[in-house]
Amino acid sequence: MINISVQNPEDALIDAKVVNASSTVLKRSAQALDTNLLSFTREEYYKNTLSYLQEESSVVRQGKLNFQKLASEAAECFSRTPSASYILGAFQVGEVACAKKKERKQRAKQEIERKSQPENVTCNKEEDDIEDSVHYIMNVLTAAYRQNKNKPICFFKLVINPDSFGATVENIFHVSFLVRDGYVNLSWDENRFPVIAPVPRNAIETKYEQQKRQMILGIDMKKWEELKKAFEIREAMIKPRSIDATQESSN
Amino acid sequence: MNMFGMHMRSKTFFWRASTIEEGNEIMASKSAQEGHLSSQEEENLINDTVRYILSHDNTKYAIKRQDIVKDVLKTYGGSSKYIIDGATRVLKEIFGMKLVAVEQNSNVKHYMLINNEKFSTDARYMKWPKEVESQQVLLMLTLSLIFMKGGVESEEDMLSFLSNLGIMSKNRSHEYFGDVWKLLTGEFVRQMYLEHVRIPELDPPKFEFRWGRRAEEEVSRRSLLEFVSLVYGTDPKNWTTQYQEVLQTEKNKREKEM
Repeated sequence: MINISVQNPEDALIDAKVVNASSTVLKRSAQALDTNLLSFTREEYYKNTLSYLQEESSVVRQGKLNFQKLASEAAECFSRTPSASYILGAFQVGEVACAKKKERKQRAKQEIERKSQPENVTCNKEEDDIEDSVHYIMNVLTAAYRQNKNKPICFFKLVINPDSFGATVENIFHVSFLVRDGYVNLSWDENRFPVIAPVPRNAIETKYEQQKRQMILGIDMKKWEELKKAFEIREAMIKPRSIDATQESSN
Repeated sequence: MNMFGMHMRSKTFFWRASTIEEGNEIMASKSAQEGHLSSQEEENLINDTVRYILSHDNTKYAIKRQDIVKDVLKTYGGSSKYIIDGATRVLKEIFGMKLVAVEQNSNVKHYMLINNEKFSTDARYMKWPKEVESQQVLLMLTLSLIFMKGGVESEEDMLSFLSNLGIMSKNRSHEYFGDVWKLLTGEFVRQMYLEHVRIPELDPPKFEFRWGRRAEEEVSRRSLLEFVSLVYGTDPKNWTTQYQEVLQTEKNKREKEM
């Protein structure tokens, strides 16, 4: 058998192609063959779907079909597992924990003499700023007190910054440190307005004997405006020193 | 039925359920023979695998077996078949979910989760997130078309069907469905609902749509036929060929479960 040579290879090739093509045609015909009582066509299907949607929705709004009507039909077709999702998204574990551990390990290795140093270093810039501001306010207050012939100064005139509400609140905050430590004295004047006066140096030592007087005050932007008008405050007694405050005051 | 559409079991709902421990006692003797894992470690691994699978089920993409081994089992990769069998059991008995293995050349490469509960009419009242809802409607339309056409539909025919419905318009995403073409050829294929394959030996290349593996497991042909009959206003049994196919598929599934 192997010795018989192929006479016409081109014919064999054409035959193969014919068989291939006819089998494809047969396959397509078999697929197209429909033994249904009802035949299914795309055209009829989409038309029926559209008319079903239109009769379901009472109002066809501007030709837009509400496919949501099919939602319950669709839900019935699937055996889907519900899945949980996270409300806030992925959580990133920070590196902070690791950094602290390393610091502590190094500290343990340090000698005892060095122990005091870290305590100074931990005083961060923010606290320094507050200390500076408090000192500065004390100086302003003392100068104003002397100018006022050693009479207490109106509290609002001292703290209110007419250009910036934020700076005003900061000033009140800084003054509260002075009150807490007993460097200034708060009291009422004859008109029941709060006034403030610095405490003389020698009296500070005996601050425990002095009455600790505190005042709780609330202030919002509306009150701030009213106070500005009432006391005719045009210029801030306490000049803002940080960059943010100067930007605000220049607005 | 609670809001997750799962029938609450009388058994406890927590990770460390009594069933796991019972099952593990029986399995413990086997693991003692293997000599690798203690039953506590086993339990932990199984629970971790279950949690891993549940969180990855979010996207509905197939979960790679390789990923499970790499992320959860790590050094215990050798017992992967055993652990995953345990996870399958937990998912079935406690969560009512079926973990289906997708095989490729008789090697299991992927897994997907299917809801194992048998719903009667309750399913239609389940409230899915908006995205899922619109995707299900789109899938119902496309899968029903493919099914009624005998399991295959060409790309052009699918396109013309969808544009006739007003869903498909090039360069514009639909209000309710979104970017339909991207869903059909990208997302649904990746989720294994659809297969978008090239017809062999055709030049210029043409594509066709078929049912995907997930659709085979998740989608009820009977419900699709009922929907088609609904819009036609006829009885499902009138579609003889398709109804035969519905019965055959149901019979196959029943036999598989035994």
